Amino acid sequence: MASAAKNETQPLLAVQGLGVRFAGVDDPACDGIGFDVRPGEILGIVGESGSGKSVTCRALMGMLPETAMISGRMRFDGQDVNLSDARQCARLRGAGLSMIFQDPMSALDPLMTVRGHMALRTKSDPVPILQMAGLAEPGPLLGSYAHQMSGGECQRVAIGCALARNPKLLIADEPTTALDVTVQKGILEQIRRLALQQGTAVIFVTHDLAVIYQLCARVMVMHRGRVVETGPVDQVLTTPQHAYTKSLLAAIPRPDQRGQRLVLSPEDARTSLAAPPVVQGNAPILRFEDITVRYKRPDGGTVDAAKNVSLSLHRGEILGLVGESGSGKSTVAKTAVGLAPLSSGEVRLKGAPLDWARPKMAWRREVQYIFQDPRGALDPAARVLRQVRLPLDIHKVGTKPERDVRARDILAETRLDENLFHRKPSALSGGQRQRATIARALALQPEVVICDESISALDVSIQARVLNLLMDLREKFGIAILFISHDLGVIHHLCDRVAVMHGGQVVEKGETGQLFTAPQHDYTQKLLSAIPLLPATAGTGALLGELA
Amino acid sequence: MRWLVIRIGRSLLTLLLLIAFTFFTLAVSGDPAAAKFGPDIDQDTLEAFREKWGLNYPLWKQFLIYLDGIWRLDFGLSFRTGRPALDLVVSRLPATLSLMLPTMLFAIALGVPLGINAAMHRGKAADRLTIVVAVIALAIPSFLLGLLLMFTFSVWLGWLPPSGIVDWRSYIMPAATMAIATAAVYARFTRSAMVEVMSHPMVETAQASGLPRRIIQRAHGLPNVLLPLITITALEFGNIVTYAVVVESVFAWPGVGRLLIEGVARRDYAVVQAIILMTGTTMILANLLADIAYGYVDPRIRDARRPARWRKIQGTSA
Repeated sequence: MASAAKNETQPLLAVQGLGVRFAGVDDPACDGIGFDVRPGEILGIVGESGSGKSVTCRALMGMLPETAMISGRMRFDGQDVNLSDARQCARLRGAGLSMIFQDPMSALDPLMTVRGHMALRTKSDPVPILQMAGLAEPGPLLGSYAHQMSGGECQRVAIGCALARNPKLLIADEPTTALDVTVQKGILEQIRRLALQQGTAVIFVTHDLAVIYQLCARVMVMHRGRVVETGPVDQVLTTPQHAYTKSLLAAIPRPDQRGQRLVLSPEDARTSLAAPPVVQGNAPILRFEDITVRYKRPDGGTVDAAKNVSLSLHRGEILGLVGESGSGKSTVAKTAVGLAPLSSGEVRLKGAPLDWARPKMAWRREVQYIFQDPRGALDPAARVLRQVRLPLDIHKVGTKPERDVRARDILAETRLDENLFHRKPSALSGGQRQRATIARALALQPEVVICDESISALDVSIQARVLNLLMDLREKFGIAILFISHDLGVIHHLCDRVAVMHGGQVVEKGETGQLFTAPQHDYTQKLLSAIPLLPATAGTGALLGELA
Repeated sequence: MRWLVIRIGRSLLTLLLLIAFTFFTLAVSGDPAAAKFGPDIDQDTLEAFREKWGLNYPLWKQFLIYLDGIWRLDFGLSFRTGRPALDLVVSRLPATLSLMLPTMLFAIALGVPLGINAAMHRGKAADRLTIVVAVIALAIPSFLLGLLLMFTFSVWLGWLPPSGIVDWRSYIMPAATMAIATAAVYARFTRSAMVEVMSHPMVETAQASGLPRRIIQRAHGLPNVLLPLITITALEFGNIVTYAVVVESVFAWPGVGRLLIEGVARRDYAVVQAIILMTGTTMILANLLADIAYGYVDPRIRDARRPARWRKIQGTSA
């Protein structure tokens, strides 16, 4: 990306010995961070949650809370800046450094128009700035408010805000994580154009290595507040040096690993899975027959969240449901547990129609739902074991000691550490919490489990463990899984069959391998072409070889 | 418009419930005839009194007659004075309104800036001081505060007239008594609203693009704080009436609040009902106005109320 001539230019930003500690926390959030960025260069920073990547960026911006103790220096555009002095950093904001954030919908003032946002920052015409931010036709949007725009439009306006004072360096902190892949693609292209054409330097923070590969020339890998590896993207991704980088790469499902356990530790390598026995041909266990879910709009009209959807799920099968936000994936799944009202059509469980107006306890036992946010799905006041036992209590399975044993067994099955059984959810990490909700869903030994973006919010290493867990459980109990995700890589890895949804309808369904190699529908093709991919050689056998 | 019609209809229904509630609670709470004449009156006089005022009809019929009267703005006659209840109340209104208006203005002018200032210096001395003073101001009963002011400024210093309406200086103490507690509510509320707004991610976006804190507070902070302030203002209209009842008694203020107390003490149904209905209507109107005002301040609410236009949020990626 950056030309050879540019590589020889002086760095625009050089950070030295950045350290950040928060009062009352023993481990530093950042320690000894140093890197530099040249004009027009895009530096990727990658790491899992808590690795210190956001803290690093905020420290440069002078935007850490007052409880942070910061040390280190940076040289920016010929100026020496003491990072411990937030006011010095603040002076550079706007025309020097600027930053965009993850959640585009809340990045803007809900009471202010696009024009108002721009007018606060610059006296010049907002149209060319917004065009530079990727809005082809900003004119009609100038009078719009955040709630009237899509997530992609909001993020582009936020980029416009960041560019309004013509900054030399743009820091982008997970700017596309909350967006659909097709929207992400456009924004990544815009950022690349910005660096190439305007010579703006960019620091792009993400947890997604594929995005880094698509966008950046150099990458810095962070882990527990330290830089573990820095180098050209190709080199870091194909021949990673540090063990952490290797494990990070191993956690991402590669196309050639489809249906296999992800190897995260020697133990995983030893217990490799046999090909799952998919029982097809016989009657499906769960069947959506031509279902439509119609909602009333506030103005009295109607909108079809799902329209004439037909799907079937067989015992021991993992069916993937993909689509962008608002495509109706969750709506369809929720009709199976009575959380979304059917306007027409039927959902059948083992051939018998589910009528949630007159629900039966048995249905709840046989179909379980795992939501995206485990924090919201768990009772913050109750201990983990009790919450896993609760469905057994409700359905009066066995005696109380038996239920206790069963809850323990299933928790052990999810490999949640035993000393966490008596803790409250607040003491657990995101991945541990999700294990608890999975255990709770499995406690009743359901026939069908619906995973609604259940691993989307997890770091890749934890995501990989949960993926392994789901495959193990399918093999062991023969449960059928309806797996909803917007992450096509994960879908490809896990699912036997896939259905693609768009605008409330299923536009394509088929066997996973076939659908990914020869997509028929335009939308599927568009979706597949939008996913950022890692190089085929990325991390190949990096860990396996070492562990063998 | 459809929204407004429904909203007004709902307000009218609330008003009807209020009328029914005041009528029936007062009707079952005691016999006005007995209250007027005392225990030593003969049965014939009592019956004649009841007949004259329609108290011998069944309750539902009395209610219908009453509703019909209200429809024609006839709230009945005061048992005590024989004058129309509405005239009595209206004659006292100017005194109360001329007290409430400066109270509200003063409370907002004092409470809102204090709250904003506290939020801006969150956790610092100015913030803690504001919180402590606000808690004290809220905790002191208004009659006590009124008496304290009266002793200080009228008895000791002799600067202000102690009670009644003498000249403009008479307004200072009663208005201050009510305004201090109300300002405390505003200060606390504004503070928490401002703290919340300033922790919204939009503030980070603004900071990151180089806007100074002062401009962020003015351009993002204040408009967003205005929304909850509209709600609290509508609610405070109700609170201030309760303050008025106490404060008017303390300062012998010839207003509606004192009329209410006299009316309750003597079971003067018509007067009490008229006052309750009037304050109730004020509350209902204030809330209606607040709801309408929301539509002007918040574009999200404006859009939700607009029937025809429905912008598709999903799938309109640029």
